[in-house]
Formats: sequence, C-alpha cells, structure tokens
Amino acid sequence: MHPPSRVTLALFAILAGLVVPLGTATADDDPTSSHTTPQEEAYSRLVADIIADHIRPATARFRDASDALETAVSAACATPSAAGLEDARAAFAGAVQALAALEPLRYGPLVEGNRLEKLAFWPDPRGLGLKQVQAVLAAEDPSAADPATLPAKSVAVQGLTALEFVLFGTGSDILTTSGDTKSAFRCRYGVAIAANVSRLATEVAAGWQPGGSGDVFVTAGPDNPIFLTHQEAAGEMISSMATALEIIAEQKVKSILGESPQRAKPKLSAFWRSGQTFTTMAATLQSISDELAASSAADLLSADDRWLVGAVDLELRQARAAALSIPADAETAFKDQTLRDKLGYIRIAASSLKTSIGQSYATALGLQQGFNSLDGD
Amino acid sequence: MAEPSRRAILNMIAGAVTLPLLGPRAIYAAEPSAEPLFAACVKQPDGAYAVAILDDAGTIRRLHPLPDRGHDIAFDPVRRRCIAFARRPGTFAVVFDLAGESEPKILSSAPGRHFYGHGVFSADGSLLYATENDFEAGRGVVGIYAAEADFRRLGEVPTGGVGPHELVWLPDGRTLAIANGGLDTHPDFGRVDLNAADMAPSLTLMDASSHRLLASQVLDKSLSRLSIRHLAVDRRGAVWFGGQYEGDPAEHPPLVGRLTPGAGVDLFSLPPEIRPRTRNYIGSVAASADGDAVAFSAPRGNLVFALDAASGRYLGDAAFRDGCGLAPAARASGLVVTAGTGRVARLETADGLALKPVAAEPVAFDNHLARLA
Repeated sequence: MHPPSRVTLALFAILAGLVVPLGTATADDDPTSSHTTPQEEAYSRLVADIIADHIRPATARFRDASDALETAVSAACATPSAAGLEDARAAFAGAVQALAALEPLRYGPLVEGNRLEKLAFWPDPRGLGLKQVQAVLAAEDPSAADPATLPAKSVAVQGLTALEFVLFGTGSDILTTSGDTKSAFRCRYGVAIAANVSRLATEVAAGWQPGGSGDVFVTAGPDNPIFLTHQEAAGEMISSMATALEIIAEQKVKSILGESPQRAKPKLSAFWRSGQTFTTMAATLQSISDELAASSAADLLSADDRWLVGAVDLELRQARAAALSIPADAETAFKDQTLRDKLGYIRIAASSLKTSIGQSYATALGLQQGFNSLDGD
Repeated sequence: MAEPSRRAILNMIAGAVTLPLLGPRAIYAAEPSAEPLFAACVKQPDGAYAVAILDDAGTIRRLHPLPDRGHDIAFDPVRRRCIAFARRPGTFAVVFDLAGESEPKILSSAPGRHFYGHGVFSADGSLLYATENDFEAGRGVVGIYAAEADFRRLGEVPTGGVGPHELVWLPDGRTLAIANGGLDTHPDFGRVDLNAADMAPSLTLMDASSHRLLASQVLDKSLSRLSIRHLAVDRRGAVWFGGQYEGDPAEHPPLVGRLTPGAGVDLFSLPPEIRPRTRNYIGSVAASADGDAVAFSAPRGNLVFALDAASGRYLGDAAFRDGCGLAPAARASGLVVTAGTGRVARLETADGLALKPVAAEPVAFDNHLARLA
C-alpha cells in the first residue's frame, strides 16, 4: 500500500544520471547586503499589522478567558455543586480554545520564562504530567495548592493540562461535594492552577502591549538583541505559522494515529479528557486564517503569487471544517477507520499548508530560510 | 520523517554501487589521489539524500545514496570506510568503503534506541562508538559496535546525561568527550523537546576501554538552557564546544567554551555586535588543521567565526549564507566550510579570518563536514 518510496525514486534519478542544478549560487554571499529600504518598510508594516490586528486581540481573549476560568473555578469551589462544576468545565474549555489560537505565536511573550510549557505541558509521551498531578493529589501537597508557591513547582503541575485532570480526570466528581479533605484539596489545587494560568495569560497579553517584550519585533536594527532587520522579524512570524501547522500534522495527528487502529495512542492527544483534541486544532487553523488576513502579506506578493492567498485560505477552511466534524471522543476518533481517514486528510492538509506558508509564501515574500538554518541539529 | 522500510533499504543496497553521478569530470576525478577528501550528508535537487565525497577543491567526486536524511559521518582510516548516521531520531546508519569495492551495509539501531547522528571509530578501526537515545528511559547512551565483526552491537554505556550529540576523541585516543545536549525527546513526537523547562546539559569524559565516566562538567544553573551539541579538539587537547541556547532569544549567553581536562571550563563571550547575529545557535565546530584556531558556524545568522585556541582571542568572522559544515583543510591554518546553498569555501585563520568561496555544487550540504583522515 505504500506509494513508491523516496529511495526508489532517488535510485531512479541516480541511475538515469539526473542531477538538476539547485539554481545559481553566484549571488553575493553576504546576506546583509540585499536589504533595500522600501522592502524593509513593507516588512515593518506586515509585522505591525499582525501585532495590532491579530496578536493583541488574540492574547487579550486568552487573558479574559483565563480570568473567567479563575472566577468559575473559585465559585465552583466556594459552593460545590454539579452546576458549578459544569460552569468551571465550560470556562476551562474557553481558556483552552483561546490558548489554541496562540499556537502560531511561539515567540516573544508566549515562550519567555517557559510560559507555554507552564500553560500546557504537552506533548508528554511518558505521562509525566499525569504522574506528577496524581502525586500532588495523593499527597495533598500544600505548596501546589497555594498560588504563591505553585509557580515554583514542576511546569507539568501548574497549567491547563494539570487543571484538566483536576476538573475532568478520575475522581473529579468529588468536586460537586463538600465536607471531606480530599475534595477540598482538589478544589484548592484547581483554584491555584486557575490563578496561575490567569497570571501567565495576563503576562502574555501585557508583553504584546507597547513597552512590553514584544517590542523587539517592531524595533529591528543594530541595537535590537534579536532582529537586525524587519525582514527577520517578519520571517519569524511567518515561520511560526508553518511550525503550528507542522505540529498539527506530525504531533497532533500522525504521532497519535500510529500505523493502525491498534497502534493508535489517543491518550497522548492534547486535551482529550475534556474532549477538545479536535476543536483546538480547528481553533489553531482559524487563528492562522485570522493572522494572514490581519497581515498585509497579500499586498507584498507579486501578481503571479497572489493566488496563494486564496488557495491557502481555502485549504485552511477545509481543514478546519474537517476537524470540527470529528466527534469529541479521541479514543473513538483515532480508532474508527472512517474517522482515521478524515484525520489522515487533516494531516495531509496541514502538511501541505505548512509548505504553502513556510516555503511558497515565505519565498514569495523573500523570507525563505536556508536548509541548515531552517532545520538544523 | 518516514522510517525507510526494510524493503526500501534492501533496494538501496542493491542499487548503490557508487555510480559516477556528475558526468565525466567525476569519473576521471575518482582516481586515487593523495589529497585529502571530505564527506558530507547532502540533500539532492530531487529531494533524495546521500553522502557526498568532496575533494580539496570542493568538488563532489561521488555520491553514496542514503535512505533518508543523514547527519554526520565517521571515518575508519585503516579500512578507509565511512559510516553515515541518520539524523535524530533516525534508526539507520550506512557503512560504505571509499574505494567502492564492497556493497554498502545498513545498520539499524537496537530496539528501544535511536541514533543521534554522530559517532567515531577507534583509531585502529576495530570499534565504533555512536551516541544513542534510550528513549523509554530518556537517557543518553553510547552504543559500542564491533566494526570488524559485521558491526555487531557489543553493548552500551550511559553518557551521564540526556540527549547526547557529538562525541570526539581526546589526543590520548582512549578518552571520549561527549556532549550531552540535555534535550529529552521521544520518537513518538519526533524532534520535539520534551523538557525545555528542565534541562541539564553537560560535557562528559569517558574512558573508552573501561567505560568509566571520568568527569562530567555541568554548566552553571544560569546556563541550563545552553544545549552543548558540537565539539572539536585543539592542538593542546582542549575540547571546544558550541552551544544552542534554548532560552530567551533576547539573552546572549556565551555560546562557546573550552574544557581543558584537569583545568575546568572557560566560556567565551563573543564581541557584542556579533552576539545577536549568531541567533544563539552554533551548528558545527572544527579546529584548523594545525589545531591553533577553532571555527564555529552560525547558520541561522549566515555567519562563521573563529577563535585562537590558545588564548581564546576572537580572530574574526565572515558572512556565508546558510554555512554550517566545518572541517580542517589540508593546509595548516585552514578550514573548509559548506553551506545549504551548495557552496563550499575555504577559511584561512592565519591573519584574522578570511573566507574564499571555492565551489558551488548542485546539492544542499547538511549540517556537518568530515575530513577523511
């Protein structure tokens, strides 16, 4: 069932003696010599537009959703009830969806200080996060239930992946009852995590306001510690969108699917306990559409390349629709053959979008990275 | 990255009789010669992967196909054969002899292990040492192979760290220096760093015959996110390393250091204007042929630079787009550098640092360049 392998194709090419030149390598090798001011102005505008029209609203939504989560978990714990737990779980879903929209922004405030790992400890192939959260609950570790000391503990016990187990995992039903120390501790720990998430989300949103650490993206130049040129800053933003697509294709779908239903590993999925494995993929894809729309990238493309805008947008919408059509239960989705085929489509679509954005788009914008710099070791 | 199927690998063996690939020039150039040869993993224009053998002029003499993307190459000077390792988390390694007299041999990593892309032969060519991941345990090991007995795996020794990458011999020929990059990965999730918030990179010295860890140098806690990846040994036997900083890109920690056995580690800060240009990422390290200079590539910054090995003095830098592979040249103070653009250049360290492009080949040179004796 395998398509002709790359090796076979390679062999054919070798036997036929086909060696196609990669292109002329006679250009000046000084990569700093090619910038002209009008281009730099265009790249600067692209970055500024993405920050103003996409990153600030998206990070503010995550901050607000995290505030709402903290409020809901606190309320549910103040007077435990089935309705209160439902509210907390709904608020949890809101925060997770808002975080999924930040996946294509893996730079600056979201990654500084390990914020992303603290917010969501994933992937976790050895289940370390689960073990550590269970240990916290079993020992009723007071330092984990205190918002002042929780941030100093393992990144795996202080974010949304940990809170998901508290709210949805084995034993979460006790959150609807009060009186015993076990439920009281689980609640206090949940409140502490929600407060920590809210604090981190506030820091991320603040980091993208003027004067925050995200300013390095708009102040490219000799004194900027990261970006010498606006072109580099724009390249970082475009390639991070491609990275988010690669993560969907390779980690969120391919790694979990395995070669057969028997070898699927649905429990390694992100946010399967709360049934958000596929809705988070859709949120990330939507966010990439939004980011491209917010950017002025289309204006920078030549007439010959402008078709990319519509093609990429259409494929993003189709992949998102496919993700939203999959039932929430990851166990079913990764084992049912029809749904596996649908996931296979999402994988191919995300992978093709990664190439469209990371290579075609980036090349058309003059932002392509080299073989070694893109993917070294 | 797809695992090459066993059948694909067998196909490859059957077809891989080092055919001349680059036309008449290559056929004639394949005659034996005393000048040094170099080897690098490459990606070809059709997307296929291979090992390229280059001459001193930077011209590709031969291509040996690989089933997937390779990383570094180790050379056995006694039997004049090479082994190319899969890039992490790959599970194959391909052995071929330079003369093309025997068929290439494909090794697979042991169950539960994958290669990290680097290895070395013992000086007599009898043993092969490769950095590997015991990925269920999340610990680094050196796999040891009997190179004279069909590369039977004799066993493994823990490297004393996580995510080992390059390993090199000290001049005594019995001590291995091993860079434990500190990044935990699991093949279920490819190359994804699982412990970015909790790294402990180190540089370990191991006695290769007793398998004893002689020393393990851990960086200061403030540098816990500086992944030590690539190594080279200078004239005096000090081990130079180049790091990749996984922390805040606005910080500019020292990326290069020197371990002098018995005398500890010195870290070297680059000139302030160069620090941001490195993008906190060193791709390769190599000493000049005489061992008096050490060169570093920073492919993300399209930059190479060099230090004086004895004093640590900054010798200079040169722009080279997507330049990464580095190896000692034939001449005393020279090195050769290769790039993803297909370009090959000479570096001269005798008076500052000078870069002179010498060739442009129709391949993308991958991260490393190895000098074949």
